[in-house]
Amino acid sequence: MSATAQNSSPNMMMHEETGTGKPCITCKWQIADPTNPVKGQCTVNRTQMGGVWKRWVSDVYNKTCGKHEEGKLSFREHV
Amino acid sequence: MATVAQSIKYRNKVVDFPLENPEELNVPDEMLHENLCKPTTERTKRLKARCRWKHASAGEFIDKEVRAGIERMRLVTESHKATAGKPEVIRRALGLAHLLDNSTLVLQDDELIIGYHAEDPEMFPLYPELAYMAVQDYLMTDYCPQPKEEAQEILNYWKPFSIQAKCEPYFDPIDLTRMYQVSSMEGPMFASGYNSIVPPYETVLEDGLLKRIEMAREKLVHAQAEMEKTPWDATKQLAWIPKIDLWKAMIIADEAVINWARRHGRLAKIVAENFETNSARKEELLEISDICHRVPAEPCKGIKDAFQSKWFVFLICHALDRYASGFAQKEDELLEPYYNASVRDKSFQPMTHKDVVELVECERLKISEHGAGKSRAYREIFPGSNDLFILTVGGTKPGYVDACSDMTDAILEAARNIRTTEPSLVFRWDPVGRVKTKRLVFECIRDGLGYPSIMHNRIGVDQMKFFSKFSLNNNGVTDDEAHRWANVLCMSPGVCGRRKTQKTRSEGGSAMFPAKLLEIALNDGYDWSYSDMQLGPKTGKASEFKTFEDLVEAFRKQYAYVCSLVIRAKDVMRHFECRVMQMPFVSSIDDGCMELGIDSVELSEQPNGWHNPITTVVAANSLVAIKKLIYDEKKYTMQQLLDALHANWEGHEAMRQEFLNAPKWGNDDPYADPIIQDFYENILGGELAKVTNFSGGPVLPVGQAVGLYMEVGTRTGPTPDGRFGGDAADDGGISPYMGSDKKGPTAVLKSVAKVQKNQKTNLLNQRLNVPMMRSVHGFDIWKSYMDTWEQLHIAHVQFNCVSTAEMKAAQKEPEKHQDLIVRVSGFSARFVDIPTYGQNTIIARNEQHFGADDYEFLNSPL
Repeated sequence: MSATAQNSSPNMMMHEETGTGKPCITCKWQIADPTNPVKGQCTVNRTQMGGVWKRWVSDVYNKTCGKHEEGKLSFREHV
Repeated sequence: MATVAQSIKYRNKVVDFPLENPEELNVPDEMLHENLCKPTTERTKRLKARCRWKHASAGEFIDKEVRAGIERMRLVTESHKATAGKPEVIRRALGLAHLLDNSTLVLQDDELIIGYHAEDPEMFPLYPELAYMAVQDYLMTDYCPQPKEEAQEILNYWKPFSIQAKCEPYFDPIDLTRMYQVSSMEGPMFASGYNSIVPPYETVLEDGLLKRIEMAREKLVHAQAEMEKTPWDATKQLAWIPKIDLWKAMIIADEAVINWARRHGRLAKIVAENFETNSARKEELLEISDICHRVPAEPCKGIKDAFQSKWFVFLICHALDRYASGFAQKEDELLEPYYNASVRDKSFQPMTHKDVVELVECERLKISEHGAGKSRAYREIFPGSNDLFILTVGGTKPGYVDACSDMTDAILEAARNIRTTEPSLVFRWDPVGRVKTKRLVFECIRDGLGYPSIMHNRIGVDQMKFFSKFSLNNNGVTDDEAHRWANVLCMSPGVCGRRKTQKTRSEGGSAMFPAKLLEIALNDGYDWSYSDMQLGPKTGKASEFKTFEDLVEAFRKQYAYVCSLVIRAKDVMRHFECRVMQMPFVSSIDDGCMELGIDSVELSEQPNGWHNPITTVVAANSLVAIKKLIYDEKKYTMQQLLDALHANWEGHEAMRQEFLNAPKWGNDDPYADPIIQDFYENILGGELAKVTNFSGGPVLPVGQAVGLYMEVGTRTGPTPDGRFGGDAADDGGISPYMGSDKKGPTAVLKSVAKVQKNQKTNLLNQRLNVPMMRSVHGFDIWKSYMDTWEQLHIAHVQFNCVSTAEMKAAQKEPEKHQDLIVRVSGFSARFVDIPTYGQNTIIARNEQHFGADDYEFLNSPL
């Protein structure tokens, strides 16, 4: 089970959807992969201490989930 | 009102702790650090006020004006196209020359040291010849070089020629995917472009480049004569060809650097004679013009020469020829002769000690403004800071003679006065070091800079001698040369001087993450919590491990896999660096390269292999908890633990508490410490030492953390030490986990001192109580702590000395706390530029309070 998959319905979970109108690349919870620009990291899971439990996004253009929100977080809200 | 430390009873008397400076009693704890900045002159006060900081956090630049420049990309590309067909080393020299001949020069008000490496001081250059992914990432950001279309075209041109493209075919695509995600190991340099170097500044300051050119010309004449000898012997004489190319390239590069410096001189003169209206500044500009005409072409004669010449060399080695992090040098010894000429003898550029302090402050501000075109991974892991700029002072000269000098003191005074996050300082602590200088080290730490970070001098000297034994050409450092070392970056000692220094990062420094490796060892190599893929070899189902040793063996296999993979990645890159990323300028200023005609990325006379285990203590504490609760006491089964971890402890809180309360590192604990000592020495150190790197030496662990303790924490699921998924890992290579060292500062020292075998260094972060440090006894207590630390043979220690009250006040009103600096891990950061969670991890660190037993152990003279 992946971190964002817990207690989630299939549509809420991150999943592949080729040509989706809500790709991870435009989501405020997504932050770039440290190395590969076509990959990313989902930061929607927040920990009790205020940290982030990330999940790797293997394709930021063709993955989406039910928590998609357009935008960008401030650096203060990341780790 | 400031908080004053409580009185204690010690050796049958009551000891009070009044503040050393009684006036501070009226300064609230929450505002202390905003009252400590005291620039030495009005000039440095102005320079600090207009400094263009380039701090990054979460991969983004804090200042929205900062952006990548296109000029370097454009010029190196023009040259690369124009020089096709020439020997690669000549192309590299011509590329540097084309860049230096045509780059925009930057000359700013008030500066005493001039020169920048991009077309605008808000900008930094990029390096498409290194990692195409790193540049592509920049092109997707708000700070993309403009025009973007041209930048994309340049990147597309370079992609097949880039170091990354050359290295990738030699790795399984699965291994590349595993490396690139930076969850169990640091990504390879060929995909990030990250690098570090120790420039041999000494030759430039002592010889000047004109002499180096003359030396190369003599070598060329000799080589040509050898080539023409009869009868022809191909087995010997063909070997001169690459040497001839290199010496020619050295001359091209050195002439270009001289011309570039003199362009700066002409610019300063033009501004002085045509635009400057202030007569004092006009005189300064004319003097700067004269200096830039003479150096680095000629030997330095005074301290102004030395600062300027060193700065030009820094820009070439760290930013223009290629990117390299760091500011490695033994700066006090390097500058001491010129300090003496200008201050003591007043024979050239006469000045006072205070004038030198001002120059050091100017240099610190130049570094603070320096922009690094580093990849996203490295913009993430030094949150609240610019880049790893670290210089070293103190220590000893041959014969264990104290190397501290008035130049050392000037460097420390400037750091204390101007308060910048960069460059960080390392102080080499030795018993013979003079107390006057140690007092200045204390003042920097007491004032909350987080530096100097302190290294054990004699461990470092012995380490240089140890690695010398593995020299491939039997020309490692001599016993005398072993004394001249500086930290290459945060933590690892490396030799400085005219030759044998590290030129590229294959020699050391990348990371593997034991917490994540333990997580996947518990899951047959599978990463369920972050990437949802097989992240390492299959090492068996943990529920079927019969003994604790079975688990340790599974971990060892995961660890061995990443050790060999990451070091292979470094050495494969070096293989290609030798062929297409030569550095003829650096070669020209290294005595070994000049003598042997071997390029600086290829020649390795002094091995210095290291690698960084990061998140070790989370893994180690987890192993202790597993051994105690599953294998020794059999209170839980492994399957129960795995179920709890996969639920992120949800529904298992009572169980989590037991794992959380199992013995932890840093408490001088008789159960935990032997397990963890064995983990450090025989698993992490022992396994790594089996590797032989490019230079023929072993690789030893340098446990540290940088900001990776947070980043890797976000990519690591819940762990058996009671930690939740995503929470931060441990903040130092050997530091106790935040808040888990509960038996005082000397218990930490006793635990850490147990780890000695198979180590290079390990980072120890400690947080000291502000009222105690600012009291009349502060220095005596701290010095007795340091003397004990030295006697316990601990390699490193560094301190935060910032109150929780002040950090929390800064979280509420960041704009009022711009001068609040904290030590994150191997670097210091502006607190308000760190993400909130990162700030919280620093607040959560245990603030050490000293009790009577601690003072007794330290033999503190209260």
